[in-house]
Amino acid sequence: MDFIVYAVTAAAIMTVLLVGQQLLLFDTGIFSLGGAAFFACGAYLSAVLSKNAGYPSFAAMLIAALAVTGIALFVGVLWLRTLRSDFFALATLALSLATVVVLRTVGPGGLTGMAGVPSFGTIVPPDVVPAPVQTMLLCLAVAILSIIAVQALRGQRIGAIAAAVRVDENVAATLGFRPLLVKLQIFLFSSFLAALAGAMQAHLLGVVEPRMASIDMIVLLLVGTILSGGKRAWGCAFGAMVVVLVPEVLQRVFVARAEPQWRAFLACQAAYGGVIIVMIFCGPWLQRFTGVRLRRA
Amino acid sequence: MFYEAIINGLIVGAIYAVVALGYSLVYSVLGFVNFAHGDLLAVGVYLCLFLSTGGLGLPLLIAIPVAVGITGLLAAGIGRLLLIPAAQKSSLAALLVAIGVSVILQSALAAVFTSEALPFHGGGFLGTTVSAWLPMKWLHVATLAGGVGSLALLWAFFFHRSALGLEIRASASNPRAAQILGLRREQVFTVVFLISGVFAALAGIAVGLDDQLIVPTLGFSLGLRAFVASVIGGIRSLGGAVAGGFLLGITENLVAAAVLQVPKLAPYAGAFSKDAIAMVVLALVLTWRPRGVFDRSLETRP
Repeated sequence: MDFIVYAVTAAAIMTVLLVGQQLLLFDTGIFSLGGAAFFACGAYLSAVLSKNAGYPSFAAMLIAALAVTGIALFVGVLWLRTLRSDFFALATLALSLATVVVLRTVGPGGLTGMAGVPSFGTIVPPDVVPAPVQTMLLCLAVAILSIIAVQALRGQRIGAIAAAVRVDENVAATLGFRPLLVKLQIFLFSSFLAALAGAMQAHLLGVVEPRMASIDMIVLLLVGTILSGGKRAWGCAFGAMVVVLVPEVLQRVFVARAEPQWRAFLACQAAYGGVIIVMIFCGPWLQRFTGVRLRRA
Repeated sequence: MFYEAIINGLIVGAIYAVVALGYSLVYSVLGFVNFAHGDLLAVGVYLCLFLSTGGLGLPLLIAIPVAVGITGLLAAGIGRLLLIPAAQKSSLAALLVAIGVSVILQSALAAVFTSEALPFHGGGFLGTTVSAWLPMKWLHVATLAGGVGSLALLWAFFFHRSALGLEIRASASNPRAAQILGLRREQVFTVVFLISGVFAALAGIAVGLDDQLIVPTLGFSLGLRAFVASVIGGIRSLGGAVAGGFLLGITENLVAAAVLQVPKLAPYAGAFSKDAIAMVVLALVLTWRPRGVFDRSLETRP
């Protein structure tokens, strides 16, 4: 029971993160590997604000997410203008890896990170509804809200403009839209969601670590985003469930067979790599994404 | 002090240059960033370790060419099987597949060998200094001479004399025109991967022998720095990538030497690690001159 509550909570948080990444990658065509950086920044900021500065958890989460959106504004203005898709990916990869270095050297707790982050507060007294269940319901609510928000966004004008920008930026510009502005807005929105998810993760686990921005996290995000399909926001819930459950299941299988834990981790990483390759070559969902530059309208 | 930093910079630069050439070749001919390049390099090092001290016990003089050859073939195989078909879909698809390959290679290395550091000694005269007036290890002399020499040979005899070399240069400078002119596409693509794999393995073995300890993630971090080097020089110009390699190697060593001179910065020396310096340089170059220092093409975007 405890495990189910934990898994649902973790999957809900991952959904919030993936919804933003999906919007960014599939709707706007921006390939960013910086989601992990914003995730870790959100987690650290919220942890410091609530543990060291004494803010209540909810306030800390919101402030952290907004502050990280400020960082994303800087990054977006700097790089979205000048860099084409795959170079933007590598620049944001550098951002994530630099975040790991910075958190290791000057972040609170150094290499191992910081423990003892306060948990989510309770709204109803915990003897009525247990605290973990309250946290789960809250995370589910945030996840569902972000899914609805993204689906609504797709139906709006900005969604249509984003699609136009993805197919051909120059044509969109000649039609009088402002590609940079649309890209920036969606980049900021996805960074906000990533930071919010990071903050929620920090309060759920009670620990923040530098490896929250590492390459493993980046690959995890990529796999989740690819598995989400790209057309509908609730696909992210599926992607999130896979990336949350697969490591847990592998861990249990390997522990049951009395094999060391690092093997489970390796198997997991190799499986993720395989998933990426298989989805690129065989994934019907990906047709829209990979075929978009080859097909002429 | 600074004289020493420049010499070290040249040695590291030779390694970066050789690896950066691989990124630059694949990017300019096929149009995507080969994220798996660094991990192929690590495969080369582990193969060499397995063939020599770590397993079969062959002498290094035999183990190195064999390991280099196998890595080149592996690179060509992965290229033919996965990366070239993906590159024909789109550059993003190819980048994603390369990330997948990178993750698989890295975890395969950790599974076959361990994820902990393994000792890798060249032994013999490699670790001894040359003489009193030239305070360098033989290994470093060999690295510098091997790097510069093999690049010079590649340029002088392959890129400028042989038909295939000319076709590769033509495809690199304008892939579309090369296709229209009917150059041998498949051979060019395969040989590009072969060259990049061979050079990556050579560079990796030099680094492994110098560090004497190797980990499966060695390729990822070295590959990332070499990628930065190729971006500095201009990833679409083959010569620029090589120059960028030397530039990054010297910069990195000069900054590290300068940090040690300032006592206030010493506690934060970890933040000035090679990876961090490369990241900062990458961010600066991508912000101010994304097409690199030596790329003279008119298009402003990379």
